[in-house]
Amino acid sequence: MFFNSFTFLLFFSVVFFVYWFPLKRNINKQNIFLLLASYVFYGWWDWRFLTLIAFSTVVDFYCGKYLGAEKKQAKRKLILGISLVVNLGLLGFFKYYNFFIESWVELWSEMGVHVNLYSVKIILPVGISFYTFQTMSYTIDVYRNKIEPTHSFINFAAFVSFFPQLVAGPIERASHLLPQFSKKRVFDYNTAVSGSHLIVWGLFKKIVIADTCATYVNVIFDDYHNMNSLSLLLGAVYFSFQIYGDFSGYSDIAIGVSRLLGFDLKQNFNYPYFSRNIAEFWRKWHISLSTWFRDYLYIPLGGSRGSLALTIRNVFIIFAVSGFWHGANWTFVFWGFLHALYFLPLLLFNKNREYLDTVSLSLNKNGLIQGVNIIFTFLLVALAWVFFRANTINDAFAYLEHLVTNQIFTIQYLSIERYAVEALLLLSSFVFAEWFSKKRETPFFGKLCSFNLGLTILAIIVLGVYSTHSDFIYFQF
Amino acid sequence: MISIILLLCLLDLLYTEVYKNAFPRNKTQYILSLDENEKLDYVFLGSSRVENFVISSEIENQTGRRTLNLGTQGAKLDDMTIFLRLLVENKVKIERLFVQVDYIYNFESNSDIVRSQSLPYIRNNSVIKDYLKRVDADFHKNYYIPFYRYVTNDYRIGFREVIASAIDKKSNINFEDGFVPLNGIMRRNGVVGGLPKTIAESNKNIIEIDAICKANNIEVTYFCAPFCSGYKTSSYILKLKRKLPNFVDFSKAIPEHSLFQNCSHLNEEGALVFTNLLIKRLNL
Repeated sequence: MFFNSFTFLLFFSVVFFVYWFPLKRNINKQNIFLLLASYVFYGWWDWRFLTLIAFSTVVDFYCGKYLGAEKKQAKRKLILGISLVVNLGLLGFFKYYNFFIESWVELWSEMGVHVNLYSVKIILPVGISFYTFQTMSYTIDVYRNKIEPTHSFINFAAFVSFFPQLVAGPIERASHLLPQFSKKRVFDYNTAVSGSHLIVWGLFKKIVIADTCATYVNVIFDDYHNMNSLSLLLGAVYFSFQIYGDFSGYSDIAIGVSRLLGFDLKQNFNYPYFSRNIAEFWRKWHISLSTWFRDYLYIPLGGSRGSLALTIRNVFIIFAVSGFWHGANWTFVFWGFLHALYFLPLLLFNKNREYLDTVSLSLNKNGLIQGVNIIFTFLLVALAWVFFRANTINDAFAYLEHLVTNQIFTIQYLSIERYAVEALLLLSSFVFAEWFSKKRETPFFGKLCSFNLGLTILAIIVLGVYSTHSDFIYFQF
Repeated sequence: MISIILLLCLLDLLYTEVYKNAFPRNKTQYILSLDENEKLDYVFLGSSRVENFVISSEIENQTGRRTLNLGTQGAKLDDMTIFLRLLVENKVKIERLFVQVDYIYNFESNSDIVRSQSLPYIRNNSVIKDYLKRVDADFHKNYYIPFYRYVTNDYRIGFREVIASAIDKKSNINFEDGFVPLNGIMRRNGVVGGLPKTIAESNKNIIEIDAICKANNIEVTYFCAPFCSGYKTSSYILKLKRKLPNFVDFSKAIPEHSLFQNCSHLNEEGALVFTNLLIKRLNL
């Protein structure tokens, strides 16, 4: 079930009504209902994989429970190990099994040795990377005595499968989301309004920005041999906005839907394309994943507390793992590696903690430098996205080689009967709207709130792409 | 919610009005824009194998007879029937009709292009309404839900197209002629496949076209446009000849690969050769 579908509109209308009217006074019934609704939401895609979520839920609930009761460190380590092996085992099998088999066979065949190992046709369960990381954070936090284990199985199961963020995040921490299932939720008009605004803005980002960009991106990337330098550059820029609109749009809708149910989810994107260096970009892009890796991988590895060499190693590890988390393909690994390379100079010159404030450009030298930095950072990010989007790593290099060597900058007419530059007009308006609302969640504030809201709804209706239904990109992760 | 419904109604009215008054940007609109009692000597119906093959202006130059190419990419016999019905409904006088038939005889389906280009007229043209009722799975949604047809077919009749229509942006196609040339030469290994081995028992659209032509005194001729040499056609064409007595076979009429853009489509040079063949063999 997709947020941008009529089915979801009907589904959520029913959930909202039942949740706030017949079940309003009973928090336990509300939680049971949320759990059922979440399973229906997930099962709509493929009911067979509900068993995976259920299994993961049972394992982590009992691991958490025994961790809470156990005092001996060795046993606690064993329990944590069981949780990690089960979660990472499931993730590894469903997501990486074929990748490792194929890479292994390829490696031997490069050396002239024929190895006969069979890959298995495995369907990747939607959102497995997201809910696995969410449940793992629970057991790790219980192990670290950061949180108390929950005694309510229903609350825990509802936390793991909470439908607004089940399939594409934000990846919530148990310390933040789980206690909310134990508190009485009260319908608050202002929260509901802000949630509705986020849903509208998220839909705009997905249906208008991401899906429009996708029509250009698909034709440019699929036919990159016949594109000139300008079209290839635009292809990279369009994909940057496609993935941003797609993923941050999903997060906005998830946060908005949760607010309408009385829950608070953490911010996942904070205007990342206005970042002035790569470190700032990573503080603002997919925040829930970046902070997960920081807390559960980077810091346990030693973080930046050791020597410079150790810190550099840790940075490369988390970027490589982050790339690998996105998918079993060398394109993702290289994308992560490229970001680690971008990060390296900041680390060496101790500049990675710069720009912790919100950007504001003024008409002076400092403003000019910041503006140039924003554009430079965006171009670096867009370049890396080429690896993320390309089908193979060879395609990505060929794409970039053609971009550099072709050197023709005429405006091409694409096979989708549009000029390659056409989407720039829409993107300029979007960047403009984001720039003036970068200290807020959405552009719906102040005196022009209703006007902007109306204009956005009109744009969703009139400019939205509906004829070719596009799934959210991050569902595949 | 009420304001959104009102907005949808308003947009629906606006888009429909723009398309009703627009300068034609597709062949459906062009047919609807033809004057009542306009006289056409020769009309060609078919898919891209007519649109890219028949140079109407060449026929007009050589014969002095008014000729129209209504070939449309992906069109099937159902779409050709609707075009003919719209012409007849509009009281356009046709002397001779030529319908391109090949493997499409086996299909009683329609093209999505013609379907979506007809949607703006769903409520004010009874012929189109009947056609869509028959071919459109979403007919009721398109008919009753305001703006639904424009949203779900945004690629063809959405915002970009309505703006182009509103500012009378001319199409690249000259509809007075209707011919769209293809450039390039087919690849050496471009010969792919052949016509099917079996043929459908009958085709309701052919029966309907025959009936309309008979009722309106139109002489109808079916023909098969050329395929490249090497493309297997013989057994199917024989069966087609048996089904359609007034059928002219051009499937092997052009042997030179240099005149094809791909195995099923002539290039511009090939189209000129084929048009001259048509003039000769069909006594135009």
